Amino acid sequence: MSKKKALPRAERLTVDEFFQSLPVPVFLLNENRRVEKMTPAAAAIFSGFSTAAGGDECTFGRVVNCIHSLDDPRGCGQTPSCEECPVRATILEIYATGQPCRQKEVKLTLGPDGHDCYLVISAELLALPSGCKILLHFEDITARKKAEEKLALTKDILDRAQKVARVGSWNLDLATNIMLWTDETYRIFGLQPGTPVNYDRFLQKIHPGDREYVERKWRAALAGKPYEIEHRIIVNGQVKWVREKAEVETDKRGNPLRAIGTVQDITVYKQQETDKARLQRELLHVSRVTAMGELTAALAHELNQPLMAIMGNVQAAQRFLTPATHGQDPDYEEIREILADVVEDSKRAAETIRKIRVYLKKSLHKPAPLDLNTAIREILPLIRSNAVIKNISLKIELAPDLPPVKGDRVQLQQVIVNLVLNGFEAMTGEGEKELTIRTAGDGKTVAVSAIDTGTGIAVDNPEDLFRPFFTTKNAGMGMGLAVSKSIIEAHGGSLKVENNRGGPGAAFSFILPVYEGD
Amino acid sequence: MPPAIFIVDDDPSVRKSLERLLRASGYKTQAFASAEDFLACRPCQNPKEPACLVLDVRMPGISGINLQQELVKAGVILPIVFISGHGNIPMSVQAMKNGAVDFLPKPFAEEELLAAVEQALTKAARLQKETVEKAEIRRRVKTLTPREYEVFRWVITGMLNKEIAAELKVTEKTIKVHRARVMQKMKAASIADLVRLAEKIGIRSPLR
Repeated sequence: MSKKKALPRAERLTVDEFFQSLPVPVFLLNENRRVEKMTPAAAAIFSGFSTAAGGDECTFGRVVNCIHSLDDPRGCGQTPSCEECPVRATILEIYATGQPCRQKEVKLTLGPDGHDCYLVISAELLALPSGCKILLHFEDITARKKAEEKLALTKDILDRAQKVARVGSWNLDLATNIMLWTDETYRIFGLQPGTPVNYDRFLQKIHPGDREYVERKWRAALAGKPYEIEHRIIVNGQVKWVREKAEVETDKRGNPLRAIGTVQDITVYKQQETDKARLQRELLHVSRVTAMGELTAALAHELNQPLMAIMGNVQAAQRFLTPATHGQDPDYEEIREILADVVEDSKRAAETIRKIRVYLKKSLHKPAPLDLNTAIREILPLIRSNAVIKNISLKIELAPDLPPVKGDRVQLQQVIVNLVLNGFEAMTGEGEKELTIRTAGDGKTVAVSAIDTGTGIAVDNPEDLFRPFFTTKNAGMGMGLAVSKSIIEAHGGSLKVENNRGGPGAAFSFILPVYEGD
Repeated sequence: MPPAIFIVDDDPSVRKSLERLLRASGYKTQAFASAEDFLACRPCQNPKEPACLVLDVRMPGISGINLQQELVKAGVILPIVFISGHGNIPMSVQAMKNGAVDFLPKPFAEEELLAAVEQALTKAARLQKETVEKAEIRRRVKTLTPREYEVFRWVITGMLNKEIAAELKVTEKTIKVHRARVMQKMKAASIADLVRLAEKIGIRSPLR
């Protein structure tokens, strides 16, 4: 209490009083390297040494204890060798050079267990009338260092784990719009670690075709919807695929505060998916061609037999009718038989063709109640991978609660794929490439459209497009639209095309009647 | 007697029509519904006159290709014209390798068939003539004594009597006598003639 009263009278404070009131461990050493004074905090270090048995605090005290015996070859007994002790070396250096020492950080390896201990040493030389003194200040920062090391290790483990998993993470402060990215996040986005980032910088890296989609999903996430999306980014001119997940933290009133998320590089996976889809498509094509080949072979054999017989018979008849052959009257009875056989074989050929038509009808058309939205979702992977390859952004607008239609799933899917691929092929030039697949229902009919932003329809009569073997492409047989039209008409619907009003491109769409039970 | 043409096809309409066409063109025909039926006809496989076979590729049971292989194995001289409802390339290559005269995809025009048949008959005639010739040469060789046969094989090497005598360790005169007998029995007018006869039936000189 008396000290408290004395403090305002600073000008009257003695050096000793001032020294004793310092709240940090400070030693005053004389020219013989002996402790003259020490603050209570410094004394506490020694008392800790004398009372406690082991522990960091105690070790600190032991080391400082060597101040008393810097000449003693046994030293403090804590370090393996006084020759290598940085505390001892620092103090001796001050005496030798007279240079002050400021905030010098030293590391000690102490005790038989060899644990690490960190100290910060500061020293100041005082030239007093009573002689040359040294003010020595110690600070034990072992605990802080340990925490720092642990943090660095944790970060290193996190970085390594993220690198292996190709998953980065980020944290967005919604008030300041500052993002924190892990090294892997920087690597995925192709930026130098440490580059300042915010939401807008992130948005810039997104593929233009996916930007609107990501923004829409992000707004929904801020409104409390789950955020788990896959989209493309552009890194050094290359398209990469990422999968993102995030959680938004809110205050008590539900206002978003910050968001924490992960980002995974799924480019390789997407590539495999694309390759797989391509292989499947090729396989499908091959099996279809093979089936066609077998069908054609069987058909050829079945038709060639009667044709052969007809041809041989007719040519034989011609010869029988040439008098020069035998120099006698033709054998009319034989010719009558020949003609009867020709009639039989012609009937046989016609029957073969009729049977094949029946077979084709039966085998290819399997109508059942069908949700077109589901049918479209099933073929989306195939379409999407194709869009990725051709750099086309895909918009899917499926009407909710679409009523079912009755039809053959595979055939209708084939039609949709046909229309979409057709749209893709119309967008080969420059300009924005976007294809929208849209479903709509009006209660009586269901419509499916494939709307492109391509060159549009340049033929005078759009109906021509649906004629077999009509094509405007260099490669292609001109069967796609013709086949699609026959499939849709077989389902009691209609297929049409029109150029987009007030914009580039065209829309191919078909409508089918709603299924109302058998 | 007109040349005979055998037809093997499982389709009765085709069989009938081909028979008519070939008959109208002046050939004698005999038709079979299967390869098995044809194999059962022994005389068909050893015809006295030039003959040929018009053969369908695809048939239930033994196929046309297999019948061809059977006939080649049995040494039957019967050139084959294949006809096929739908022939593929590997099949036709196989057939041609085994000595087919032609491979006609159905339906074919009569000119194609008649040209192929003519070609087959020409081939048959040539093969038959060669067979008769070989049989005659073999018959003559059989009349030679073992010693004469040995001298025959040495003579066709083109060596002189003196050299052959040294080789066989006899006198030159003996060789001269044997050589004259060989020429007489083989009905050869010259050494060149003798060599040609030997080549036809595959007799080789002891030097080769």
